[in-house]
Amino acid sequence: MKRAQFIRIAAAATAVLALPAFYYYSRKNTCRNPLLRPTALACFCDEQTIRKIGEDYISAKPVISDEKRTFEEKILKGYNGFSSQETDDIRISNWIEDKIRRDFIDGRTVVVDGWVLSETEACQCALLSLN
Amino acid sequence: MHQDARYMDNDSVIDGDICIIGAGAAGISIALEWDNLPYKVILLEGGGLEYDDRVQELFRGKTTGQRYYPLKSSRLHFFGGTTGHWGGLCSIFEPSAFEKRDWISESGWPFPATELGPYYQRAHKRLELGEYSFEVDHWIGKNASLTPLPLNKEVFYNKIWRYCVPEAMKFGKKFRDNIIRSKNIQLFTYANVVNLETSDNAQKITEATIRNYAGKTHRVRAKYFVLACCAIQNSRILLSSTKQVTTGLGNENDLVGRYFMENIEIKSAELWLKEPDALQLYMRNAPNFKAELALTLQKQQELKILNGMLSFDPLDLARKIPPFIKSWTEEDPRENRKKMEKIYSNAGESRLSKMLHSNKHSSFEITMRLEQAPNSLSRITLDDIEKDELGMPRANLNWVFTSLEKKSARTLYNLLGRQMGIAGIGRVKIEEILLDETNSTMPSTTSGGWHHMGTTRMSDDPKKGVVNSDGRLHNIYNLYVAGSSCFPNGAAVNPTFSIVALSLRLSDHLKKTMQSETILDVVRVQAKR
Repeated sequence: MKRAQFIRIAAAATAVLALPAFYYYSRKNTCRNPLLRPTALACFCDEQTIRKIGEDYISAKPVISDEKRTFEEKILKGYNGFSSQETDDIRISNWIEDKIRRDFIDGRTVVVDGWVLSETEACQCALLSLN
Repeated sequence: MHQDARYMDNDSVIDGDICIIGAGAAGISIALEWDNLPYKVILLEGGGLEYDDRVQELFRGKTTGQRYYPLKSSRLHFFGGTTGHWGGLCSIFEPSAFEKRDWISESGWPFPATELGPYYQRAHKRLELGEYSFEVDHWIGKNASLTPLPLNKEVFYNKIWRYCVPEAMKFGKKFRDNIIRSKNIQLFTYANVVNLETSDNAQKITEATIRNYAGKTHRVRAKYFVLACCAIQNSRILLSSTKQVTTGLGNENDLVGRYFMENIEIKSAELWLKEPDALQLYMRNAPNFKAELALTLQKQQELKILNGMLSFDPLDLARKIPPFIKSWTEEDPRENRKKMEKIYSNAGESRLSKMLHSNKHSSFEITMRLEQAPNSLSRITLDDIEKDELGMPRANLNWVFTSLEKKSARTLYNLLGRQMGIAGIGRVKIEEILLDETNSTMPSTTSGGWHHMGTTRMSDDPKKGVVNSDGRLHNIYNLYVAGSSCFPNGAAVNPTFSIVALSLRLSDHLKKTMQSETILDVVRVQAKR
């Protein structure tokens, strides 16, 4: 095998192998990031609709300086961090689900675009719209 | 016995013990209770045994306020009355409807819910509803596959509805032979009451004047009169009878015609489920029952709102069916019926039954049936100018709400949204117009259930009601009113089942009154001897 041919084949193979990983990690940053994924809404709303809910939630609130950070803090308020990244995603996700349920129990709800949402999941929508 | 008043000699006089005016759910229910008793019962029906558009035309009237159906087509004017429109849904009024709720002005009945209990059982039998139970556990026990939504029982409970079988719900067909063959019940068709004549002191009805488009006028004399037309017509007759009392009979306190109520039907929210479900308990199940979600009294009290019931229809089907208020627009009831049939047929009947019976869905339209707060401005009045063919002033309706209705609808949907969130099974989406707290305009899709109530409301205080708790006019000892016009509260429940129950109660009261009168007569005769 000529050297140039080897390089081409190796490059193509690397690309083929890397593509799913790239896709996975880029998706993870948005859809799989538990902070950006209101799981209940995602069962029946597409991403565009969820982003729109987020935008409308933001526009109904007073202007804040660092929106991303504020929404992140709101979602994670009361959360204690964990070590492994993978475990954290699942644990964070479960923790957020529970927090959403507690929001509904305690009446921390908002209505955005007609949807009766927990404040936490409205923040998730907002955060998604900012990403 | 049956006579058509168009073919009787003009100015005939009809005599009887009891004269029941109106042969609908209330009138027929009462009349049947007197079959084979030693009393002569006169049952007057304004229309014929079948639909007659010239008679139906007498019901035409104007509406103002919240958009409403044409008055001509919102009830039926022939033997059997508006049961000809009835879908056959039956349930008991929830106990909260009978209670005085201090956040709802003029709420409460003059007797508790338990008073109607035995009459509901009798009505249930008459309507051939089968096994008597309105407990959800009873029906779930019969079919383990039915699962209630996992919601907090302190917020929502499952209200059971029964369906009448088609043969039992159209009173005109079901009871025609019983009435006509009766030896002591005399049915007169084409016998529209246009006036109630009183004694000089206006404390007793002496006779009813009946008229028809054949130009015949007759008089009916009886010991007791029962007005059992419908909420609009009952008040119309009282307001039109002005010979002795210029403001109309029973109207000393300007209450006749007021407090018109409907079951407000709102289709302004959607339920979206995380996992598709058939919500089978909330669909029609064998043997003819279904559940709806109703709000507990405790929650009504806490939130200071009206009661409401929630039902679910698959969204893809519901979107094909316009709100009733937008489809039931014709003056001729037959045309509306055709339109409705077409709408349902276009939605696909086989598809409809399939959807309602087995398919799982992710989204549902949530229909709310909301009780209307008693409101004196929501009322029937007589037209100053226009009269019908028989010379009676036409009845007009001003259908209006308080601010409580919209608040209640919004809060109720919101509550369901919260409960769905707590249960973790889905989310609720509410129509924007309902969320606007700055005005009390209801969504344009707001409909009624063709359930006319109020207008001669019941109260033991003459300043608050037209009839007392027996259904008798406060100042006229021999005139009673039957039917939903007596309801002081409409509840969030279709009225027909309660109309029948209340009519049976009135019938029992009349029997006791007649019996004690007979005893008194005997005593008087003996005393004379």
